[in-house]
Amino acid sequence: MDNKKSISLFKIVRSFNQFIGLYVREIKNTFRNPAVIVLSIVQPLLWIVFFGSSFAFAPLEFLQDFFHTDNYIAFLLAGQLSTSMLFVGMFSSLSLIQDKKSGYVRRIMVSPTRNYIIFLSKVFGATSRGMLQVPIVFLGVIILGVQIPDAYGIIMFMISLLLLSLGLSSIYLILTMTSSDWQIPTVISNFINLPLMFASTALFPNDNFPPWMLFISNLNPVSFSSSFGREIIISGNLSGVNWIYFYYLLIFAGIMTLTGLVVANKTLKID
Amino acid sequence: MTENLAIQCKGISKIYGSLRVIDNLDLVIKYESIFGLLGPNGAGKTSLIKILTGLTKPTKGKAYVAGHDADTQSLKVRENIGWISSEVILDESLTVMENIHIQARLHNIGKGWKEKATNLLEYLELKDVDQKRVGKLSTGMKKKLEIIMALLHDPKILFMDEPTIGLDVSTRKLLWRLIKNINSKYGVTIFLTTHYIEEADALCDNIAIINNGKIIAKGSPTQLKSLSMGDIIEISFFNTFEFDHLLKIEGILEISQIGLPKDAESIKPDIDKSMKLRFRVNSAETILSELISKITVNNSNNIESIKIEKPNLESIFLQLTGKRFEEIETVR
Repeated sequence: MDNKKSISLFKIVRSFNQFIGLYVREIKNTFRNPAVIVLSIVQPLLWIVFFGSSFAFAPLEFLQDFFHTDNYIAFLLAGQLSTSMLFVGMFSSLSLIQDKKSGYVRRIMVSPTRNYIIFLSKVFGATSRGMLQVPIVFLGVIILGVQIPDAYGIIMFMISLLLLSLGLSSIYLILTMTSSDWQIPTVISNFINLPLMFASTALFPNDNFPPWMLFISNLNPVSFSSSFGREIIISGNLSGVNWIYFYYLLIFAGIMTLTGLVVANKTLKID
Repeated sequence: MTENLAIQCKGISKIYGSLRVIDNLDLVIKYESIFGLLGPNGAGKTSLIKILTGLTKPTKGKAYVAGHDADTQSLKVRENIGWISSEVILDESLTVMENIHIQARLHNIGKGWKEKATNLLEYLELKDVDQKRVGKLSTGMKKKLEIIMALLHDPKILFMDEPTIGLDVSTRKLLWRLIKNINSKYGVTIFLTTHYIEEADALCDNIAIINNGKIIAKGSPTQLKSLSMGDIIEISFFNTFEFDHLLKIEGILEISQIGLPKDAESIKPDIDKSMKLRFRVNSAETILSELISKITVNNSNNIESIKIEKPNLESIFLQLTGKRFEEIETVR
């Protein structure tokens, strides 16, 4: 019995070691690539500044009626960060494609590393990359006059973004792992990113959507993350937040990550 | 029995759709040896390595690596093997030490990894560049780093899939020395695929030639060379002459004319009347003097040059597969 326990413990420690090794590689690769850093930080700020300023001279009544706030940037902030996670997910797919093409996946697979460790390192690597922009964007919007919620609010919003990123990265990685043609995941990602962004509450409320778009928006995890974060930012704390949004994201991330683990073990192969 | 062998394949077949890339292959490799697998493109070398490293399952048969079933105990197999590919596969944005650290984590090497890495870096003369980014290293240095990473966890068997492909001659020779040293110093069994015939000849204790998924010959380089049907004497002549009578000399197995195409004489009859003959003989040493005296009996100044070719792996490969290695290299 003790022997069995020590073997299980050894397996856990080994898996953790392997995960840390590959995860740290993802992080180092992010921080050593100036283009990725600039893209991660500057792009969301540009979004906030340019898109956020599009309603700068709109009448207050219109903003209150339509966005339920007098500052469109406050409305947009949660949606923009949620939308960013879509693109972060796509980058996780590209990272795996690059490792498959360069042979690095094979290097990993001839070591005693299980496939799901590769998957997890990619998912968490991409998620960390996405989370990197959150504090930067928060700092940016403070300058633009947005009231920042309390610490609990910020933490819960960040967790919701993390869940969204886990789920979305898993979807993109599943696509990459199950595809033998490296171009297909990129094409699909490009194809679904924009519809998912617009058929959500990320940029506008969905009150005036046509029924078919409303249906997509009501299932779209980007909507749930946007709405959850928006309620926190506008109210300034967690009071009055609809927790259904958060639980939905929790279930979404759980199901997608578990599916990714299974798919990784069954289908991740070298070319 | 299996525990005492580094690698054992029993009736392995690998079939992709209608394509049989490995066909009922049997193989035994002893510990601490250097084994070379030679074969043309598509012969099944890579598929066999994939099976032995646990990356793919055989359709039929069993493979045991370091005493473990490569199919059902692939993690155990991978704990005991190192791998070096034909291309350089490293993270070029990380430093030498960071690349090694990742490898150490993948193999769950504890705190001792740094000491091991330092020893290997010193042994392979890379200590001075251990904090340098891999992207800034030369190809030879990168290959050395791959060797360090492959040896870090003290593998019993090292798989080297065409490790010197694309390297310049001096780096290739350097790697040969390293491979020999690794085998003798660390007692690591080396499974090497190569398409450099002289590489297999220089390095390997045992060689197998694979063609169409089947091992068509195996043995030590000396044993394989003994499969050759005699020596070759190649003689160039200034002028053509009738040579049928030379076949009567005891020990000559075959005579063939090489060099100019048959219609060459009609193209430039007055310019070039030279001729080159290839004699396949039992033993060049015993027959040469008699052969020369018969040739020169009527014309003592007709011989331009004489070349003696002893059996080598190149000629064996050609004999067995009907393909020259240069042809394979051209295709590659």
